[in-house]
Amino acid sequence: MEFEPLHPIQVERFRLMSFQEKMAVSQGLFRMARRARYEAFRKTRPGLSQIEYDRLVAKEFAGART
Amino acid sequence: MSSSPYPPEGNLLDLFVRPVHNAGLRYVVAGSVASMYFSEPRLTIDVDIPIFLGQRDLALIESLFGVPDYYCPPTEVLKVESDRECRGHFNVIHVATGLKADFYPGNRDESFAWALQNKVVVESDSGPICLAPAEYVILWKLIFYREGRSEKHLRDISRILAVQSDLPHKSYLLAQIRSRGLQDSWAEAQPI
Repeated sequence: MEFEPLHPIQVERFRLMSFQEKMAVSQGLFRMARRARYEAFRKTRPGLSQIEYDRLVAKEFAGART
Repeated sequence: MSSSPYPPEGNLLDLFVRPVHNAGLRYVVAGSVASMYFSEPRLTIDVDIPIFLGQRDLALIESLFGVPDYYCPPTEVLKVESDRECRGHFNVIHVATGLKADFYPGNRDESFAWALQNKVVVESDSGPICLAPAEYVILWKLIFYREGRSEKHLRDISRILAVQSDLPHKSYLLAQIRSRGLQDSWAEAQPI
């Protein structure tokens, strides 16, 4: 199986990054994905309460594949 | 009071790993989170935690991950899973975010005992946590790939091999690959 190879610059950067930095990037990705789902639900199902949106997003993430 | 339309996210380490670590339980973080340490950052919404659970620890797990903040299986389920000869498994879910921990009781698993002996202690924003060595992460990703064919496992392995110039316990990994018949998956995971 072939995956897009890492660029040597990426390899070098990832070797230098601390665990905290990597987790911060991952957390940023999670934040972005979560906010995108909130906005999608607000668009497709307007008028729900904040609690209802919270439940929809949490339920979706709990069942998501990664 | 915050006016943000987005509730706080929480994070996998604070929600699941920190309580287990502070309670003094024997565990390692494996899977995608450990994979990140050895390779590249990526999105994940669950954390894999192989763990040793004695009888007294079952109630402790329930108390660490109690309602209403968490869904945690009842003690009877935890007992059944921790008593398994191998491959015990249960989920804990943080209700507000949907973030999840997959716990793998490994009381009789030799590879888990090896991982505990060779764990890597790293600093996180909230303090030290114990990671599985890269060879353990790779081994179980090969096993899960063979069972579920999810390409993410091979991709993670390929990334680890690309970023790590050397695996300190490679002979252990190669022996495990041979004894478990994982050579084909191992060959597929090699970086270009």
